[in-house]
Amino acid sequence: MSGLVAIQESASDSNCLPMPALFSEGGLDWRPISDWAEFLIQFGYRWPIATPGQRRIALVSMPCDSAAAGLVALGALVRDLGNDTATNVNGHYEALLRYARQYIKSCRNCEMRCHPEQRRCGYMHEATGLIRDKDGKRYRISELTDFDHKCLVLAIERGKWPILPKRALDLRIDGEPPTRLISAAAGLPTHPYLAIVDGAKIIPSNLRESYSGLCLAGRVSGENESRKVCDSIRFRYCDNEYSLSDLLTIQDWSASSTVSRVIFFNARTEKFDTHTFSPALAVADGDSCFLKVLARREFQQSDIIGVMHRNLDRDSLELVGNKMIDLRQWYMEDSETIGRMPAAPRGITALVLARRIA
Amino acid sequence: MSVSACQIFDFLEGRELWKIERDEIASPGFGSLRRNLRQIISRLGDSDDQLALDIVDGLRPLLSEWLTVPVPFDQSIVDAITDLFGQSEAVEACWGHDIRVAYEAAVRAGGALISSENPMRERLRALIQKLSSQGQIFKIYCHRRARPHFESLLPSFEGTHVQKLAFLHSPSEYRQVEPFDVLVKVGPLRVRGWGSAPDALVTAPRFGTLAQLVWSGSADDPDFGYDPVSPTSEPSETKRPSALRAVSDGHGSLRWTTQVARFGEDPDALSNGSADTAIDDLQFLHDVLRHRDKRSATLVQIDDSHAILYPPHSKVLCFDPNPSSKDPIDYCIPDETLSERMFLIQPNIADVNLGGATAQHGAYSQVWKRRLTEEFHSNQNDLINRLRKAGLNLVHMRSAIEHWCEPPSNVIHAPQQMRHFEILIQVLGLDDLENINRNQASSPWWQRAWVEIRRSRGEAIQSGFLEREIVDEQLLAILHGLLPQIQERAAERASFEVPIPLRSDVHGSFIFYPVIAVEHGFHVPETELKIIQELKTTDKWRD
Repeated sequence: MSGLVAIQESASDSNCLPMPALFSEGGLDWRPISDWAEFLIQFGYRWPIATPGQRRIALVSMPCDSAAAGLVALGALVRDLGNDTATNVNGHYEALLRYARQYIKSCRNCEMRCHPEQRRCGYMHEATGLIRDKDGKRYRISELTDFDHKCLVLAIERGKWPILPKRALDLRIDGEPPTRLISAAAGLPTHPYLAIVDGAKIIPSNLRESYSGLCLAGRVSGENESRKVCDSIRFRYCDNEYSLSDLLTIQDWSASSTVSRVIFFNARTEKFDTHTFSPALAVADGDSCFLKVLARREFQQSDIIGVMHRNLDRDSLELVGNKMIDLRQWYMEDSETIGRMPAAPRGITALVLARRIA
Repeated sequence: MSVSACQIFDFLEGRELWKIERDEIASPGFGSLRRNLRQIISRLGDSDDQLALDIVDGLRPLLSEWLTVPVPFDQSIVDAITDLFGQSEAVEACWGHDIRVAYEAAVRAGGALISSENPMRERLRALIQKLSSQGQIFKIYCHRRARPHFESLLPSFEGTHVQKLAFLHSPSEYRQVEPFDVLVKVGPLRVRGWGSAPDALVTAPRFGTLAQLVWSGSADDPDFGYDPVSPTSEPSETKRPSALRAVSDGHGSLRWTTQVARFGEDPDALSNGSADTAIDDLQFLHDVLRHRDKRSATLVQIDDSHAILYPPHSKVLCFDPNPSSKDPIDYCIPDETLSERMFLIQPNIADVNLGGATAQHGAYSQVWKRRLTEEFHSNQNDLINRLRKAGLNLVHMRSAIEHWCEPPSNVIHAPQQMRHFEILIQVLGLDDLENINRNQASSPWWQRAWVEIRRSRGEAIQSGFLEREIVDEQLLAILHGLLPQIQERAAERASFEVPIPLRSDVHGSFIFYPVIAVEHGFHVPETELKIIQELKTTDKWRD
């Protein structure tokens, strides 16, 4: 099966399933989820929900190249499915207004399409001013939009269409996933996630609402490489197979009609796959990506989990090691968070730092 | 990702303990050679004299190689030393009696070695035979250029039980290997430079036993086995192999144990006191280099004998032949995004300062090399004397001239310094050509020939005549237009040249070099960066 399609939910309301998911890597035989993969999923799942002023940075060091970052992100995704604040619904209208402001005040009249780094406008993407409704029909943002009174206005054939915040949930920025699906049947399935994290708490509404607070920062070699690695991991539950790429619900990796619970930061092009990013947690894939994410303005408030392998030359290892030493000026080892994690399998080492509280 | 993570973790979970079996080998003759060369380097290394420093630069790679590669003890060892110094009388005249004594002692020690086999090779051969007879799967970790010395240990495997040797040369090769039984390593575990190996040998082993053969006194780097999760290291004076320690005391730790066996002894070293036996020559040589004004660099090997050194975080124009690559032509960072399947792109742009028509690759060099070869073969001594008298006073002049006579390959073999090249052309009498062509050319003949040499070394783009960014933009646009042609040529995995279409504003061509290897651990003078160098030249900057 390709893509993530909801299967008939036949289990009871209980969040425990009669059997766990099976796991396969690189087309090898199916087996119970390996200890190393289980550890990484649990690392993401047990990662504390971000609290203001208590930023955390972790480094997970692997003995080999793997889809480890994707697995940590998957665990964090399941964690967020149980968090009632992990949804874009609440800030959706404000996000539309921000987009409208960018379009009207900056992009609409910009002569440099689209080189934000040269224009130094502070944005990362061009705002085309296009909005889609739930049927896929496109509208353009009207210049009559009133930012003082927070009223989004769309241009229609016979004039203007002021959008009320409640109505805005049916609208989305062109090219972005729907904020909320009307039909629960079209939402994400519960079973694969429950089969991967047994006993996970999942709030049903989260399965049909997008969330941009969790970010997977891909490899510096590019998005294709990141996706290929995630494609190599597959889970099976009740005769249904899901690749890790499917389960992560990254927008461009999934069917366009589904919600997205993980945004993607392309570490090669240094661009997000969405306008609405405010990552509370970023999982960085690889040493170079980790260093890039640590340095970027957009992640300065985010928790960051860097996942890298150690089969590197010494210079690359030291760049990361020295960065961790630098961080210790402001951060201390977070034994509490490490204590929440399961014992690491042989070959995986991990360090968690938490911001010192003044 | 050719090896699955499941395979690696299954392997790690299946073991409780990893072993290092360390053989420390001593030899009186080799010990004497080491001591005397160390003495010379120690004395000359502090000199302000360029000739003395050239000698030190020549000795460093020699001694480093002998300590980390199982070379045969043959005449080439003595020749390598005498080629650098020349006659004993001249050595004494230049640097005094003590240096002469040490030099002669080193030559004697080198000569005495020839009568016996290198004990390192004996031990290695025995080890390979033992592992083969036990049916163990083993691989050898070494530098690419050390490989022939391993292969010559057992020239023929046919009809024997000895396995065909399998090699690993880089972190990326190690990354892709499936778990096996024994890794063989000659020399100490060093993080950079001669005999270096990835820390992952200890922090992420793909084998159960590390069979290590070292010369006495060669210590592993104290912080070998570095993991960024626990970057604090012990003080360097502890000097004990880090592999003795657990990689990590926390979660996921691997436990190592080391067994040391000593073979042979060096009585002179013992009689000179314990201080001498404790000296680690590789550390000593590293310290000598570090005191000189150099920049750290990453080496990109482009063929069997050439490489380019880049300072950290350089952006180099590259072509990625992988069909799934979104941006096949892009700037890469050698120590970050450049990989061994890619090609370096060297723009070879016509220089307006050349005067006259653009020189073809090797057009000038054909003229001066022909003259040099004729003169060298007709009367070597006379040519050398004339060059010395004119101010070109290299230590190993004869071999240098032989080298300059070689036909151009990827680079034009020529003196490293412009001043030396000017003298060479004057002595060869080629400045007369300037008069013949004066009406056509705006610059002296030797300067145009020098530009050709620099361009062959890749310097043209650095000293470009247009503003750099404009050139870069134009080049990228042209390269994207040539993409189908480039992709077709790249399938051969060899260097190739693609001419810039005539309709373009920029004239010349692009040379594509396959990336054979990317290596770290060099300290290089600023002026030697970003140009094509011979591999043997780069050795003197290896840590």
